[in-house]
Amino acid sequence: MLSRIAENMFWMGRYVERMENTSRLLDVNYHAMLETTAVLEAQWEPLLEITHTQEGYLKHFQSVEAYPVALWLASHEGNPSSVLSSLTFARENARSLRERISTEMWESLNSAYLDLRSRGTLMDEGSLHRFCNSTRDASHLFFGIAEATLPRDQGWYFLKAGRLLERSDNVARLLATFYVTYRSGPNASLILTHHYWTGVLKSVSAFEAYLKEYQGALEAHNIAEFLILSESFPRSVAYSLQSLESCLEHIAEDNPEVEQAVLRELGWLRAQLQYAQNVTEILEGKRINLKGVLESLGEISASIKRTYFAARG
Amino acid sequence: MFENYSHQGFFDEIFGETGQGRPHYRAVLERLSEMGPEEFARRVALSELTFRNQGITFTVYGDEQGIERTIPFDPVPRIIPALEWDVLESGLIQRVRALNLFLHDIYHQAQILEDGIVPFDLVYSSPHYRREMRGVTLPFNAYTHVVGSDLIRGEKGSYMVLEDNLRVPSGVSYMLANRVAMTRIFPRLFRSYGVRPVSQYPTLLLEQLRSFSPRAISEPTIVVLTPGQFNSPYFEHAFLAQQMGVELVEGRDLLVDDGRVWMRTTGGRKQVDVIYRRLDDDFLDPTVFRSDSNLGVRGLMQVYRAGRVALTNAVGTGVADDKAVYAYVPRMIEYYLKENPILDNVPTWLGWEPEGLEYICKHAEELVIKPVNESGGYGLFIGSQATREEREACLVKVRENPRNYIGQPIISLSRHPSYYFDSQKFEPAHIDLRPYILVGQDVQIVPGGLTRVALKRGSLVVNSSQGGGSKDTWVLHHEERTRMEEQ
Repeated sequence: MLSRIAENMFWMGRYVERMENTSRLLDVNYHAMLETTAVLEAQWEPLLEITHTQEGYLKHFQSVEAYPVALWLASHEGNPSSVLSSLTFARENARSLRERISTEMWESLNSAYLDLRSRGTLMDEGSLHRFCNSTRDASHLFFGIAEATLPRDQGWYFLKAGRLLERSDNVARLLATFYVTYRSGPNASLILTHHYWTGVLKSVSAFEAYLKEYQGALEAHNIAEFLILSESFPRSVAYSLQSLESCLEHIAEDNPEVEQAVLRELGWLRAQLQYAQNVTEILEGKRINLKGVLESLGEISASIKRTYFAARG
Repeated sequence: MFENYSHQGFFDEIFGETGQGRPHYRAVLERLSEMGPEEFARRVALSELTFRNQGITFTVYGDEQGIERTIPFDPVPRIIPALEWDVLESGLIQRVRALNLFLHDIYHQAQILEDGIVPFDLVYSSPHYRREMRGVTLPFNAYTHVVGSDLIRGEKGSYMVLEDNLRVPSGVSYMLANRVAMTRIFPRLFRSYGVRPVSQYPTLLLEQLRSFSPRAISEPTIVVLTPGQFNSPYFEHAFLAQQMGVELVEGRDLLVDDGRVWMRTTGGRKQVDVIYRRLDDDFLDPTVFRSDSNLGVRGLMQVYRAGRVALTNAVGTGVADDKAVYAYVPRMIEYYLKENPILDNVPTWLGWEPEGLEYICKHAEELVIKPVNESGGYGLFIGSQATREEREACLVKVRENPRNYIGQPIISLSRHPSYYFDSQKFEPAHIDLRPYILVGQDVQIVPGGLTRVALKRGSLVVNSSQGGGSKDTWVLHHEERTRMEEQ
C-alpha cells in the first residue's frame, strides 16, 4: 500500500474519532455544569486541558467561560481540534482517498461536513445539543459504513489503528485531568462527587456499562480501574490497546520486510498496565503513571509514522 | 414546457426549421410532456443532490468563495443518430491517425517539414515542442493515447473540429456520471431507445495502458499520477484510478533509482511500469522541465527515454494541439493518409502569417481571438461581445506576440433545449461535443462523449470553468434508429 494512503487512512480514523470524543465531551459537560451553577462555580478549564487547547483558547478569549468554551470546542476557526476542524480534516483526508474508500464512506463525511458548514460557526446554546448529537452520529455512521464496506486490507487496519490510538489517548487524557481535579477529598459532598463522576463516565459513554459492572457506587478508584483496565469495555485503555495490537500485527504480516519496533513498544506498554498491582500504581505510580501512558502513546504514534509513512528511497 | 421556446436563428438539435421535433427526439419529447414540469423538476433536483453528495465536483481557480462546485447537469439528453455517428467516428479516427503520424514524424525525420507542408519555424517555435523526445521510440508509435477533440456544429448543422486536445483532456468522468444519473431519471426512455453503452471506458483505458508496459509481465504496475486533491479535475483522477483498480499517486509517492521508477509503499518500494499522468509536461520532471515544480518526479524523463517506463499521453504531444498548428491538420491528413479530411476545421487565421495578422486586426469584431496554448476557455476574446477598449487591448497583445494568437469566425454553435430552474422552462443553450478517443495499437472511441452546454444565457463558452454544464449524449444503435423512424 502507498505510504501516503496508509497515513491518510490512519489520520482519517483519528480525526473522526476525535470529532466524536470532543463533541461528546462538550455535550455532556456543558449541559451537566449548567445544572450545578447554583451550587458551585463551573469549571471549564478541564475541557480545554483534555482537548489540549488551553494556549490557543487564551489567544482568542480573555476568560474561560461557558459560551466561549462551547463555541471554541464546537466550531471556532482558531481551534484545530474543534469538532468542526476535526471533521474538516477528516473530510480532506477522505477526499484524497476517494478511490480507496467506499463511496458511501465519503458521502457520509461529505454530507456531514456540508451540513455543519451550512449552519455557520455561530450557534446558540439551544442548538448545541443537536450539533453534538449530529457529529457523534456522523462518526458512528462513518465507522459503521467502513465496517460494512471496506475490504480488510492494510487500509482498514490503518484506519482502525488511528481510531484506537486516538481513543486510548482520549480516555487517558480525560482521566489524567479529571482524576486530579475531582479526586474525592474530605470536603466534597456526595452530590458533587456523584455529579462529577457521572460526567466523566458519560464523556466516554461508559456510565451505564460502569454501573452494571460495579453496581452503582461512583468511586474514583473503581472508575479509573474501569476506564483503564476493563477487558470488556470497548473504550477502556487496555481494550483499545489490545485491539490496536491486533491491527498492527495484521499490518506487520503484510509487510514482512519491515522492522517492527512499534509492536515491541506497544507490547511493553500493555505489559506494564496488565501487570500493575492495582490501578493506584498506574494513577500515582513512580514507574508508570498516566503521564507516562500518554507519552508512550505519543511514542507509538511516532513509531508508526517512522515505520510505515516515512519516505524511504 | 416548451412554450415560447425559440428554435430560430441557430441550428437547433431537437427542432427542425418548421419547429417540428426531429424524428430521433420524438420519444424524449413525448416522455417529457407525459412527465410534466413538476415531476421533471423534482427528478432534476434529486440528481443535483446526488452529484453534490458524491462530490462530483471541479475546482474553479481564482474563486475565493466556493472552491468546489458541482458541474451543472442538464438532464435533457443529446441524441446522435447512428449514421451521423458513423461519420464522426471515421472522421475522428482519420484525424488522430494523421496527428500521430505527424508527431512521430517531427520527432524523427521531420519529412513533413522538409517537404514544406508545415513550416519548420511554426513547429520549432512551439513551447510544447520537446527536444527531449527526438529519436525516442514509443510502443505502436502512439503519442496521443487519450484524446478529447472538441466538435461543434455551425448554422447548417455540419460538424467541425474546434480543437484537438492532445495533452491531458479531462471530463470523461462526467460522461460516465451523467449516464448513471440519466438511467435513474429516465429509466423508461433507455428501454425504448437503443442507446449505446459508455461504461466500458475505464476497462478499455486499462487494457490500453497495460499494452504500453515495457516489462513483459502478466501484472504490470499501472498508476494514475495526479497533481493532488486541489487540482481542478482531481475527482476524475480518483474516479478513474478507482474504476481501473490501480493506485492514484502523487509525485512524492514516486522516485527514480537504479534507472527505474518506483513507488513508496508501506512494505518498501515497488517498480512502476505505466504512468497515466494527469499533469502537463512542464511539471513532470524538475530536472528537465520546470525546476520549480514539486508535482513531478526527479529523473523521470531519463527512465522514460530509456524505455523503462511508459507515459500516457506521451511527452511532447502539445505541439500538435497548438492552435496555430491546428490549422494545418487537414493538410496533414492529405499528406500522410492521401485521403480527404472527413471532418472540417473551423476557418483559422494565424497571427503568425502576415496576411493572417492583418485580417485579425481588421476584422477583430467578427472574430474569436484565442491564445494558441491555453485551454479551459481561458484568455478567449469574443469580438462581438467586447467593448472598443477591450478590443484595442487585445489587439495590442496580438501585435506584441503574433505567433501566440489565432482568429476564427464567431461560429453560431448549435443549440439544444436546456432546463432552467429559475424560469422553470426549457430554453435554448449552445452546445459542443467532446468525444474521448483512445489510441494504442488500434483507435477506439466510446460512442458519444461529453456534451458541454453554455448555460449562461447567450454565452458561447461551454467550459466548466466558465459557467458551462454538461449533458448525457446518446448514440443510437442502427436498428433502433430505423425502428424509430418507421413509427
